[in-house]
Amino acid sequence: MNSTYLEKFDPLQPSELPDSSEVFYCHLEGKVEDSEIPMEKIWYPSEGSVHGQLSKDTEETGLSPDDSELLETHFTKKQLAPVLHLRKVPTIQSRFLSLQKWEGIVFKVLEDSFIARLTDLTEKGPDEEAEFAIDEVHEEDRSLIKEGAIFYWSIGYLETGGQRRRVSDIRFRRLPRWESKEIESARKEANRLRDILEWE
Amino acid sequence: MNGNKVYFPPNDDEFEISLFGPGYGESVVIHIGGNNWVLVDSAIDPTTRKPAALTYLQKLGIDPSNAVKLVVATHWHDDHIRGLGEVLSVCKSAQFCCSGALRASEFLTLVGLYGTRLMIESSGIKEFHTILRIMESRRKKIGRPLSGIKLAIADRTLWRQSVSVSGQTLIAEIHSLSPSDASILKAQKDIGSLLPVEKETKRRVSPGNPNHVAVVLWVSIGDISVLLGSDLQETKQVDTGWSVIVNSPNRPPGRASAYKIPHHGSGNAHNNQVWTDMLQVNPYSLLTPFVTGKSVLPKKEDVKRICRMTKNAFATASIKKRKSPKRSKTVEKMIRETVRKINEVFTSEGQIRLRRRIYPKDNFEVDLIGGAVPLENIHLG
Repeated sequence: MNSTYLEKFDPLQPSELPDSSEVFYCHLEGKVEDSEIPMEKIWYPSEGSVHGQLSKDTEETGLSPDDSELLETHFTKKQLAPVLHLRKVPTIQSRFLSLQKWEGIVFKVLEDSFIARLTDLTEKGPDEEAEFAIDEVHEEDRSLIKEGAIFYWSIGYLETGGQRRRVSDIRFRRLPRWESKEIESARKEANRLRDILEWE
Repeated sequence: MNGNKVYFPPNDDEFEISLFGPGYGESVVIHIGGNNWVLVDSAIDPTTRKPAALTYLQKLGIDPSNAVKLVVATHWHDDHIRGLGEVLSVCKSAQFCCSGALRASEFLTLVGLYGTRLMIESSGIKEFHTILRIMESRRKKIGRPLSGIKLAIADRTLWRQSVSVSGQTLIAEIHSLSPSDASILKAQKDIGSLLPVEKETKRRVSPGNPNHVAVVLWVSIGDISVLLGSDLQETKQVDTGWSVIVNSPNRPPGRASAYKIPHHGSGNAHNNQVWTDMLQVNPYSLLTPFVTGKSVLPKKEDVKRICRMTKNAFATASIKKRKSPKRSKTVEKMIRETVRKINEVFTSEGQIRLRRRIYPKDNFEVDLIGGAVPLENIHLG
């Protein structure tokens, strides 16, 4: 459990945890993105505020000394990710009806556009490649358009106060920064692997 | 081809090489005789989402846990390594081999930084992380020799075994012809530049161009020799790229009758001396196409060049106009309003298979399976 982030929310009590039909996924500027929570499910907060708690921490993929178990762990079980249960306190009734979502990875940045590899998050379909005009991206996200950057593209309807409008929204993930302890730990692990494995 | 006629295993005295791709990647499966199999790189079958090599061996009724003796990662580009961890995990008797450049602390640190992070997609690095963990667990369980990682460098014998074929005892060998010392040094510097510094924002690591440390293999038994070019490119420098290989006095003698053309047939991987000094006349030449963004390989001029060199050139798939998956009209309209262009990733799967008796001398029988085509037809799809 990542308590650093919990304290920023009003945690729900276990009895208050929403049932599956009420689980919201949200995009919280500068807060949740700093944790290791995948943002593939995006809910667009409008004028509401959000309360939530992390109910399950990231589980690193375990490795068994037995290769067959390893295979099962790695390739047939989906890696677990934390689930964020949220309670929305809306001030204006609004609802986003999602029709299609993708996760994208930028692999080439051109003068006024970028090319990305898209993974369909709505249906298990083939990966796609798309070219987006940089103008399609929110101004505050444009500095994040770099090779290797990850974003989410959702299209659907936003229903607010009886009005319905079509929305196509591209949100770039703000990943945390590398900490010196992470780099140092990776260096130690590299030395360990180099020492214990037989390199012929 | 009729599936029933295709999926039967080779006899012990038959040599076979299959090239799979593009799917998600490129891979080579070799039967070097006596039920000894070698797997080079990994491609994911777009339908089953499993490594194409394992699916193929399963169709042939081959047990990879005993039959596969060597698994080679030629370099760490996603299109060559995706699924290789799963391959190695299943091939329990196989030794793992990778480019000598990857023992560098810089690369292992990169694996430590990116290999376990759920948030940062980087399949090449993650694949290596899986592989290293498998090797670590084998070390604890089995000990030598399977726990060792064989490092491929220029002019090195990676694997050698006596194989009894039609009453003859022949030596089956696999040599690595690259990377050169200079390429390894350059790679260490390049990989070092990918390491993040404190306070730098995390993002997916881009492998840059590890093609210059790609492992080129020479596979031989009896009078058969095969040259597997991986993605090695020409650098116009004497101490890196194909120049080192063609000028090496230590490479195995002889000329190859089959050639896995490097780097999808691109012009920058072509070296004329390879064709004049290392290959027989009209060698069986195999390649996988590569299409991403605006980059398409091989180009039409590449096809012309290769077809001038040999009458026996084949590709695992034709390069077709790509399209997007069908979606509702509303969704389609909104997609068109947002993007300039959208296409399905190029994944049509095909296999080129060459088989022949090892002894006595024989001709290769060519099977084009799935979307595979003669190279001259690659742009007619």
